[in-house]
Amino acid sequence: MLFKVAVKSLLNRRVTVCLTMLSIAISVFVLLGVEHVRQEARESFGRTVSGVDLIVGARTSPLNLLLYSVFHIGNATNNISWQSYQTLSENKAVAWSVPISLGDSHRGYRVMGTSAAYFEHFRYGSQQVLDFRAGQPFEQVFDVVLGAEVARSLNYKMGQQLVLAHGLGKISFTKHDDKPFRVAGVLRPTGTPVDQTLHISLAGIEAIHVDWQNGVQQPGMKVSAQQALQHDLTPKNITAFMLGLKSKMATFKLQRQINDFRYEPLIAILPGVALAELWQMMGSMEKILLLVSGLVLLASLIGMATMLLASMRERNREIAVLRAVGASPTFVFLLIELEALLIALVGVALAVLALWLVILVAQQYLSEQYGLFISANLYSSDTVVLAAVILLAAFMMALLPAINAYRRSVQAGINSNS
Amino acid sequence: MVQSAMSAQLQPIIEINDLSFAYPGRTQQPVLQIPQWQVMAGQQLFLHGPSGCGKSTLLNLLTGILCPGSGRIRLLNENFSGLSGRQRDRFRARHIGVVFQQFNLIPYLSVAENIQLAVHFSSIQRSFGDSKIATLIEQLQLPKSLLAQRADSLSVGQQQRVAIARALINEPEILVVDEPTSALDADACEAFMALLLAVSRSNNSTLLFVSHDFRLAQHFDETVSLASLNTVANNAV
Repeated sequence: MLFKVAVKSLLNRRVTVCLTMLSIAISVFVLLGVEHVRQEARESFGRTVSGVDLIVGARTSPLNLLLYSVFHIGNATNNISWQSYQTLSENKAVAWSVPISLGDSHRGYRVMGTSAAYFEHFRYGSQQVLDFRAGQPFEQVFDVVLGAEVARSLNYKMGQQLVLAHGLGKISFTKHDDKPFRVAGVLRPTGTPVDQTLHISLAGIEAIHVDWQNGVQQPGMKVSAQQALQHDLTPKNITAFMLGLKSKMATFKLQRQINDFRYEPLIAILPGVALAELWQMMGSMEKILLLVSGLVLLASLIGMATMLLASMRERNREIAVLRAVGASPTFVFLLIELEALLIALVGVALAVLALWLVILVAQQYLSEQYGLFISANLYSSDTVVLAAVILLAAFMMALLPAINAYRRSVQAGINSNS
Repeated sequence: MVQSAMSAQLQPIIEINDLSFAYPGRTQQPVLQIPQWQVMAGQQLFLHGPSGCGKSTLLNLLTGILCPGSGRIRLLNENFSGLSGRQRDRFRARHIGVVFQQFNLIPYLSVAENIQLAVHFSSIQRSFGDSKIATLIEQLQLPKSLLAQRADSLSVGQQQRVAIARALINEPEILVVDEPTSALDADACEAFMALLLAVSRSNNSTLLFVSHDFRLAQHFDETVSLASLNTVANNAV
């Protein structure tokens, strides 16, 4: 009976109740959203690369190197010479090395030049290997291996021809259209930026830039695809390279050696450490964000308590009737608390629903632009705990009107002026 | 305790002894002081009392909303005023039906739900539920279609009659009615009075009808004025 009365009581005031619910829903949306995205971002970034001990690039900030080499966000400040790469990859502490060359794109997706060793040594998540849905790593110069998302959204099949563009714009005016590439392989989805990348060999990168100088194709010096194959396609420089070491103990020593490399200004980073530094930097901002959303929630709960308290005056008769049929003051107290909890519960449910929808819609954009893979699955122990805390807060806030109702009900009976 | 019908008839159903009540904060000015009063079972009593002379206070004491400062109220041979708040609430739900002057119903509940509310708090297992409600509604000359309607969509006269149904659904021994006709016009008032007396009679309830309007006393066999019971000097508040 208590439940029925509470529900009907709320329905009776549905406009104000809805507004209150909306206010709570918005603040919970922000709170849950910040928490969820924060966690997902960390996880998403964290599982993008594993098993790589050092990443080396031209001297720049560690964060920049991490972002452009692994997440394909941002750009390198400079290139590394092929000689430096060779010298360092031959260091006796190194077990394997994978060179990377960035700078081209295809319809908004990044093109990465690398060696076949990439497919062998690159790991993501919990040491997972890159799997092929179709085809195999590149063998010919003009072979390209597509990440799962590229193949899916552009609807590319095995053997299909495509043209790469110079630079990173979605619509590029400088295309390498005289040297088309052929799809030789398609990878399975990984939930990392690999899905949004096209992979070609370093020879391929050289081949398309054979008649380019300083970033511009030289007119009158055009070289056809066939002719390009005749050239020596050893790269002269690369953007960065990844190293796997024989022993983890050698990591810091080698890092120092690379940082002190006298032939070129280089920097070597440990991906895990660089990520941790990134999180630390974000940490204080996250805390502020959480604090603000917590305060917003507090404000909307206060609004709810105010609404309930304001309604108490007009509910004097209602309380008197309840008392007359035998309801105890405790019943009246519980009625108000239940109303508050129902409002909060529906508010939370609305927020969860809205967040789920927004994430579903934004997932694509976030993964393409930022290499962030946010899952729409909001169910986690943290979310449940958060919801419970919100309901508890609503209960506490509602004590104000509930106790008010209790006090009124103790004296509510036949009125000399009703 | 089993009593014969005869002796039950002669038992006072309401018994007040040395009752005194003052509102907290104004203990120097008691509102009520009633040395002795009895109402016998089955009586239909008109209690005359203008507003402000402690009529509401007396009713609240009799229904257990308030507790006397000193003295004793016995209802149905039980030490009513000595019970705890919770016990009084339960007693009220089962044994006392209350009809206010107006606003007797929860506006956002249906007529049926309002009556079921009273059943809920008496917490006696009711197997007949709906049929009893239908019978009462019929006795009060209300159409059955009213049961599903929201209480605040009824006319005042209809609401007051539903209030009687709600007050009587648990077959209470005592029916306390406070100026129920003040919002009704003369015709509705007559019809209401007739129904009230008939229905309470058929339910074997003792009826305590309180009003300032002496004209209504004609419907009753017995009349008492609060002024004659209350020894506190009369102050029109």
